[in-house]
Amino acid sequence: MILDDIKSATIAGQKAQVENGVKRALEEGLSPGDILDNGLIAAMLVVGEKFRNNEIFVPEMLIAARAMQAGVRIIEPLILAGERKYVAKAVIGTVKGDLHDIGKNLVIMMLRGAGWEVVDLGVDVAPEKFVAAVQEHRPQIVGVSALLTTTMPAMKATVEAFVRAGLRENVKIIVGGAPVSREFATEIGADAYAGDAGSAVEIAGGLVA
Amino acid sequence: MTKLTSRERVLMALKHQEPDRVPIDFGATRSTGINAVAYNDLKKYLGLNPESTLLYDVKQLLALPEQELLDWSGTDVIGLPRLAPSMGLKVDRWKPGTLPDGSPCLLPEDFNPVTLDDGCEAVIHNGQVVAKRPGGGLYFDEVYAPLGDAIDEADLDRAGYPAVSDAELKYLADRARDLYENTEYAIVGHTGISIFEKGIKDFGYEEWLVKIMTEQDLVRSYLERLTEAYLSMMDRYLDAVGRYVQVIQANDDLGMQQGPLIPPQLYRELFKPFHQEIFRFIKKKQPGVFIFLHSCGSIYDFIPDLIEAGVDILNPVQINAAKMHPRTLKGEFGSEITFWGGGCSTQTTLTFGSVDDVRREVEEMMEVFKPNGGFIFNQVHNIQAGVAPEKITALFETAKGVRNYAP
Repeated sequence: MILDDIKSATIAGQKAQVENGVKRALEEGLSPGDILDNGLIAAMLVVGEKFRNNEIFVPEMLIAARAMQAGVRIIEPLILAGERKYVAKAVIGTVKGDLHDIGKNLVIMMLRGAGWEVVDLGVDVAPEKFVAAVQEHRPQIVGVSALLTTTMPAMKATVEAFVRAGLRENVKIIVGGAPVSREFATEIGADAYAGDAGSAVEIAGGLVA
Repeated sequence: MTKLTSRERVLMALKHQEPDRVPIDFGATRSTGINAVAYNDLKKYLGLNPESTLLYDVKQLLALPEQELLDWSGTDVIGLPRLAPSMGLKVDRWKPGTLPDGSPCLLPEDFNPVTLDDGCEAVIHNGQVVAKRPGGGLYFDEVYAPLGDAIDEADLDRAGYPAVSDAELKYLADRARDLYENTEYAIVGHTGISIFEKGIKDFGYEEWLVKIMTEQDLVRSYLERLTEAYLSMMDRYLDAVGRYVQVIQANDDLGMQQGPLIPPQLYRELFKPFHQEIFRFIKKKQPGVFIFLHSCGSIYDFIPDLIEAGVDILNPVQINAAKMHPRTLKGEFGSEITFWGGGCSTQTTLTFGSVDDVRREVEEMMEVFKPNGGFIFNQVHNIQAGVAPEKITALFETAKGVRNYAP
């Protein structure tokens, strides 16, 4: 069946096949929501799980995410006319002083792949910028990334900025990045630690359930 | 045993024999060194003047260890850095400057960063921003990917391929001869050979990871050109310094914290043949030289292939990454490869632990890696800014205390 074809092509990162599949599905009268939920998003959930289990690696995850995006681009205009329902919303960035974004970008891709709305704040994001973004976008989740041991203190400063702004109870904060650990997350008062992009989706989902 | 020179000690360890004691490395490579801010803190602690600190790797903010510190650390190895170790900045001429913490140092004369609108400092080459450091940050990151939008082979010309100029060869030969004749250190020749990471720089991180899956023909063409460039570079390089260096440094980060960055099968098929070709060439031209590969993260799954590719030495041995259990590594691969690093985890213990934690970890790692040679003591990767001098002292003092082999 066509949705299964879309799903397996997405998992395999076959962009052209995904585009063809989505077009064909629309011609056959499937709803954009159905294609998104049961084709593309269903595929990315499998990709996340395979990644978590070390069955696939970052390059495979990237091409799957790009294949999904290609499919989404076709159906997005059709969905915007109706209402696209997101799982939840997240605001994500790399902390101040840190320009590394590959991990952050993977998390964003995987969350979007799982049906989340994500605001990407980019890199070198100051604590007050995280706070302002939360005031503006009202997400359920804030994701904070760091690659360097020397920028980990900026994660603590970011959590503290939310406390000072009186917004700490409004959001769940997830931290991640190579040197970050579960113990560190607890120590700085974050809500959770995600070790990789696959786990991030699962953990974020758990926090908003 | 008669007293060994440092060079003899290192060579024995690399041949998997037990010398008199485990060799130590303090700053011989750009991944076994020390951040200049931490270095200045250490110098102040030891009563030394920070003004002479040489910031030879501006990108990573690394200091070139000076003689007093080499003596203090007990190092057995010294580096032979390239003329322009990072971001094209030559290190034969210096000017006074300051580090991000305000402490003094000497900077490469050509280092003239500009401040961008976003508050980042930028290094500009030929009108192009090639690297950026965030305001208040410590590291520059390369931001220019000349092959970011490469589609076909003709586009591959846009990348700069590795080379070594006559002027640099002369500079390197003079330094190498001096180090060889006038010191007893083993010498590590920095080459910057990298097959996988060079692709990250030229194509951009994400684009490269996609292209190695979706456009393998283009990637192979690129790797062929790159390899050819390395072979002719190494031909000239070894003619100039081959007789003086014992170790040839290369780097290719293949791991992430939690596992391999790329599928091990993909490494095997796409990258390993090129590593093998380059390393074979080097060993054929300069028999007896050892190949040092710096590869961060969880690389356990690649090790058998790296050994087959001709790697003799693994660094930094990131013991806190997934599957990088010290005892497993030593047990499974200890007779075939030398571990250079792994002495104390910079991501955890050295940065966030106490002096006692550092001491305990060094003792334990020494016990694990020491038997039968095949171990050069160093922390895991560069010592980071903010690591207290007391901990750095504990790192080397503890190592010196427990590194002797039984007589």
